[in-house]
Amino acid sequence: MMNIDPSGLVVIGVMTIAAAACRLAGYGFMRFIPITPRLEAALQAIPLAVMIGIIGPPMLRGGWPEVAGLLATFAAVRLRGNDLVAITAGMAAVAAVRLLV
Amino acid sequence: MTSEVTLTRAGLMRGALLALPFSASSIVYGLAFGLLATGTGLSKLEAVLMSALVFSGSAQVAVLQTWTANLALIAVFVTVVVANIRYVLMSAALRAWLAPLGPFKAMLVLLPLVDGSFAIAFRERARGDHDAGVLLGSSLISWSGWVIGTALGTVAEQLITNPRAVGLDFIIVAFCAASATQMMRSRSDLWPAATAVAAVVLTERLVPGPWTVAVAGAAAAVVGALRYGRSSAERG
Repeated sequence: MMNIDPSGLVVIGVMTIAAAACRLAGYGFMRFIPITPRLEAALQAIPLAVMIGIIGPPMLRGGWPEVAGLLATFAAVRLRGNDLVAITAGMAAVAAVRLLV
Repeated sequence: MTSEVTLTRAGLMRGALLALPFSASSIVYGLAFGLLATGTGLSKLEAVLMSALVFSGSAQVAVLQTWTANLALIAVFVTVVVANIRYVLMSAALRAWLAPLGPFKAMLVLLPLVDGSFAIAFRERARGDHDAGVLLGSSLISWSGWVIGTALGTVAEQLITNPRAVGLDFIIVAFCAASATQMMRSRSDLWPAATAVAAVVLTERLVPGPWTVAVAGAAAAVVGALRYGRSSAERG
């Protein structure tokens, strides 16, 4: 159970370097690259796209339960504006439709 | 003004207290990640190690979704960079403030940087608190929550016999969907978002695998840059 797979360790190492590089890069690059408003607009578009990139594949592979779960999550965020309520609603919708289908 | 920066234990404590609400949500998100990680086949130690060293929810989830025996390392690197590209902007914004500390202390403060602590530190700095400890303290308390949550999630996974029946496999999708809904602030977000959706569908059709998040992020960035200026009238 507590085994560590060497190839898993390598992946974690690469991830660690990539994440640290991002957190330090702006500090280091500021001397050389001016952050223009256009570059800032490009960088600002990325976080939402990353979320969509994570949501997308399970939704494309899923079926009605996942569709119901996504709709329930959206609805709960709009109505309550609370992450925890939204996640619970999404999971409950998925579980409910899986019972029925 | 820049010479005012300090790094004190009192600042660390102030930052930690201010970020307590963030650490609570870090625990919940970490728990979801721990469940997903052990469900994907990572050992408990690997999951906790990954959270402690990488400390980036979206990047970790994106990599886990494509976790196989022979994962292309270049795809892993690009995915983590794309998911964390906002930190390049944040650390650039912090340079003027942190530079007087010297490169070693500045790096120490920047390594656990996270969205919530960046927001807190800039708010407190605007109120006249120039102690970089506020930034470091609020980062570290969020980091603790993330690591503790991950550990709890890896243990919880064993207690649940049929995670699919209760919709547990959906928890990360729901979390990201909730975040995405809150990120949609103005109409100028629509074009990059629609581009990202198209990019995800296309990538999944043509090259299903580890590139989806990176392609979606890059495509949205290009559209965001192209639409810059044109959509300024739509911004509220």
